Amino acid sequence: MTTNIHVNPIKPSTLSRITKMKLYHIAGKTFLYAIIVFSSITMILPFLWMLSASLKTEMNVFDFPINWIPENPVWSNYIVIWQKIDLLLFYFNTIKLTFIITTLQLVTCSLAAYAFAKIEFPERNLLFLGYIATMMVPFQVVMIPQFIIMKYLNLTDTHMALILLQAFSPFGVFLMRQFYLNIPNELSEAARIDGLSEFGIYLKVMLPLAKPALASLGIFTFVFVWNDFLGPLIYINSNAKKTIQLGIRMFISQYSAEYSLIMAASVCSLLPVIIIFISAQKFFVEGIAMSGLKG
Amino acid sequence: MTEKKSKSKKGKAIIQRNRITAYCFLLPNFIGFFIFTFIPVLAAFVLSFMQWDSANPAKFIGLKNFELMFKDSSFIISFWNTICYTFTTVPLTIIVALALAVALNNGVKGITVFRAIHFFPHVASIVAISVVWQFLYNADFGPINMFLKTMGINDPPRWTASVQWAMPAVIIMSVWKSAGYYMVMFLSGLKSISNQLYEAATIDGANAWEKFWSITLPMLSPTMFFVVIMCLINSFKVFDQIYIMTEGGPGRATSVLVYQIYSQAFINFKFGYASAMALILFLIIFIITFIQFRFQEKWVNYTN
Amino acid sequence: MENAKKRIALLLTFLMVVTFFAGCGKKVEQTQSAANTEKKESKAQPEEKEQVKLKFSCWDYETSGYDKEIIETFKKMNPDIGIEVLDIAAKEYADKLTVMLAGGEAIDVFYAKDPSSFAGMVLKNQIMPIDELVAKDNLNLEPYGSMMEKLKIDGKLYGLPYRSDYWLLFYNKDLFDQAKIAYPTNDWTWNDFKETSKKLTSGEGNNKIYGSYIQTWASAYFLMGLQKGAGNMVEGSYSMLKDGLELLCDIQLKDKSAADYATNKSMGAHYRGIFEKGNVGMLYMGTWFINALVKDKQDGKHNINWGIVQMPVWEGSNDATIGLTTPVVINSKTKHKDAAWKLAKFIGGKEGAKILAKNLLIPGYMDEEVMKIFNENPDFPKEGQDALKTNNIYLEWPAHKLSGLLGKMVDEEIQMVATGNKTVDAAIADMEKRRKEIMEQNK
Repeated sequence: MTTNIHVNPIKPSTLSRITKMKLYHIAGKTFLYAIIVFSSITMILPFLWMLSASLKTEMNVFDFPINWIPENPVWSNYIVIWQKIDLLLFYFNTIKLTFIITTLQLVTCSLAAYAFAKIEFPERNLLFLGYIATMMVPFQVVMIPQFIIMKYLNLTDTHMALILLQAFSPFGVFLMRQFYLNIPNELSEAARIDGLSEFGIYLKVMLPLAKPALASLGIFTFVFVWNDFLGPLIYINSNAKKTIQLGIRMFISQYSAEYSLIMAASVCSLLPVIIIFISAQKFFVEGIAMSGLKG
Repeated sequence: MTEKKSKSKKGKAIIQRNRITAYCFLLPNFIGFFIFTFIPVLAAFVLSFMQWDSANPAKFIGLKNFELMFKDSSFIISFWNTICYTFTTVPLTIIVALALAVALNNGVKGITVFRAIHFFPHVASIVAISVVWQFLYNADFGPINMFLKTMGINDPPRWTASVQWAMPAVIIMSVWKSAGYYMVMFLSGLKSISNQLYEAATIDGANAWEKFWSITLPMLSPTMFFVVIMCLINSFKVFDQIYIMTEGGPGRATSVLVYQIYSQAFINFKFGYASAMALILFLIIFIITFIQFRFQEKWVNYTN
Repeated sequence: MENAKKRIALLLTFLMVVTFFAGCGKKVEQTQSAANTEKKESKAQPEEKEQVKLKFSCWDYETSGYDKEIIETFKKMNPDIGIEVLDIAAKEYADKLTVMLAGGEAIDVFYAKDPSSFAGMVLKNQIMPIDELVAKDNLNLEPYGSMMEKLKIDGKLYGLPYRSDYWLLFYNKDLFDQAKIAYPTNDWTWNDFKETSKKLTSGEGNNKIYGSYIQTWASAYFLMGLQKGAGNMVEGSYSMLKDGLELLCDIQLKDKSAADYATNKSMGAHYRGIFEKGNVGMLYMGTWFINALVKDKQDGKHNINWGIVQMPVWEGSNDATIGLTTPVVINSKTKHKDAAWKLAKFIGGKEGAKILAKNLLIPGYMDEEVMKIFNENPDFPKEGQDALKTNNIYLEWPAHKLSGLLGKMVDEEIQMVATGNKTVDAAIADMEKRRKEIMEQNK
């Protein structure tokens, strides 16, 4: 996009043309790097601020202009957060929830999306539009009806409530469907001729091809559940079931907010997300060897 | 003739069979979706024709909530703010996200790190994000205005402190925050494009721009379709950034629809009225999405 | 083909069943573990037969400590009443309570955090009127003073004031000493405040000392108007806010003896950290800040010599300040009315008050004994006792159903003034206009 090679309409000698192309190429690459590095810096600023604030005393957090490297780093902040609240328990709860919800979502969404993308049935589009339509309604008005249902099922103050709420997301169905649509029908036809059942096609043909989409859906769900605050806020009451995000809020009380501790806890909560992102990256980066399959 | 008849019979049978298979696939998701998402949404719609304070019995009042709405200056201001926010944020976000995805898909060294970094704003604590942006936007010492001053602009905007510039400030921040998220979607889309297509184009002598225009974009259109719709929905429903960064201010300069919905529901306890606003918001998004669906054949290029 | 279909159907049903059983299994597990813990508890107190179990909700239970102390003391004195505490994030407390009560969650006793949600809950019939209970117990309401009247809606009493906070002027003695300026006094006027603020201001950059700090809450901007006693924020004329807003504009934008609104907002500034950092001379804030200052000093977070005096007033008027009260209330749907009343009476009565006073918080219940506990606390500055004797305390917001919405509106207009986007007069005119609109909309 950034390297436009054919700019010069005058036909130069072959030799100079090659060097020119090389020059353009180098200039393009440099430009590309410059932009990527610049945008990376802006993207990472909040994280650096979090790190730096997490090593300051409460009084110095908002020093202005920002003091990026604290003179006397307060490492004890990272010890205090584990003592002051039951962060380890919250961590465990969050891991449990995230793992269950992400797995369920990958299963249910990839199944449902297959029906929407690859099986022809009359009310398909209507049903699908219904799925998407629910995403257009702000959570603020759905919250109470949802809570009433959960209360009716006697599921308030359980992790089950959060699991049931988040395991069937229309977003996941939409994401997977769009991806399946891009996989040529010839593949499934060929598999059908080979005698594979519909479920077999889904399992043996579609899923392996959909790895990049599964990886992104997995990451999105993971991040969403990990950082979700409103869901746990509404459904969880007892301390033993709280999640990290609720725990972090414990440092914000009515008359004060301990930003250095909030940031230390946030950094701790962020690390697993980053690790998951980096390890899942290779899936959507590898790409798919579709060439062999394509007729 | 008999062949035709049996074909249509066969057709019906196929439809029926397909339907059963389809529902088998849908069922695990659908049950949960229906109970925990669809019914509450439906309930919210019914509430928009009611007066309900969340405790006393609801009372049917017809279209009265909607009548009230058009006399409510806060609703009208928030409505236009939302429109203005969405129609600048969506195109900007998509352009930036796509540019990032393409750039990071180009065999740059250290790509893993860069990609992870660009996903950061999506996962970082919103408190940290707002603090850093408030700092960047600071009128007197903020880096943005420092830069503008060195560029010779003596009276740079006061950003979040000024009525005119608060919305652009929020928009820039939003684009920055969500670009990485949509970039990840584009990346997974880009990876499904066969390399053979590019190789063939290279042999035909196409340059980078031509390749982007005639291969990448069309092949990416299913992802693009998804991103456009998600981005539209999310922008119309914007709340978090505004709740934390400006609280709708200064004055009502950055007040948006969901912010109004929230205050009517949770500060004023008028859940019917809040639902009515949500219904209007829904209708706008739905119509735009519906049009997209209708016209998707025109530009969305599914492989089949 | 047919075969294949069957297989799919089978597989899918299997999957579904597994999913659901996984869920149910967990549910069973949870109920089991709940049963287990209950068993354990009942083992711990074998002499109790039928424990009443109350649900009580509040905020900052774990972090602040005093609510915990109150509840623990109550439990010790009433072993037959068990209490399950719902500790909810302070900022989202009102929202979560709304959702839970709407869903029929059986919370028996809770605090109403702000006047508008209190009034709202009364209108929603979620709070039990306690007149009958008060009469039955012959409860002496005198120690609650005038605050009690303000909790009445339509003549009925809906709760006991648990805490009653009001605003004072805090000052940093070290900075006054350094600048060789006399400390503020209980009879200060706003003009004294403004002039002293100017005198105290000095330095540049990180060494900058500001004469005062003005918190970015609307109440910090409209309290000067309320001090005049010319009506409340729901019904009174907003023209009462004019000179107060002009004074603050002068201080922040002209004298620059306090950081301006936009800067404070953009730094996410919090009065607690800012004052404790030691470069702000004066700060007017609620009585809850006394507890915070003492606690933070004990924790070694600051080393400031601070003092308090009454709020400055307008030239020629009587002492006056603004305040707010937090009531403890009973859910109208409670199944354990007697036990709930017992708990509410404890929290909002003398026992609760003693614990609050020990923690240097102002309880709603105030008598000689409680006052003594407060004054005898060694961390409380002796000369500060007079500061607590303000006669006229006006409510920030009355318990009115529109307090929340009007509060938001007033906040928006004040923001416009404080950021220099509107003149004081234009903002006041707009406030009146928008109040009319809100009233009209919510008839």
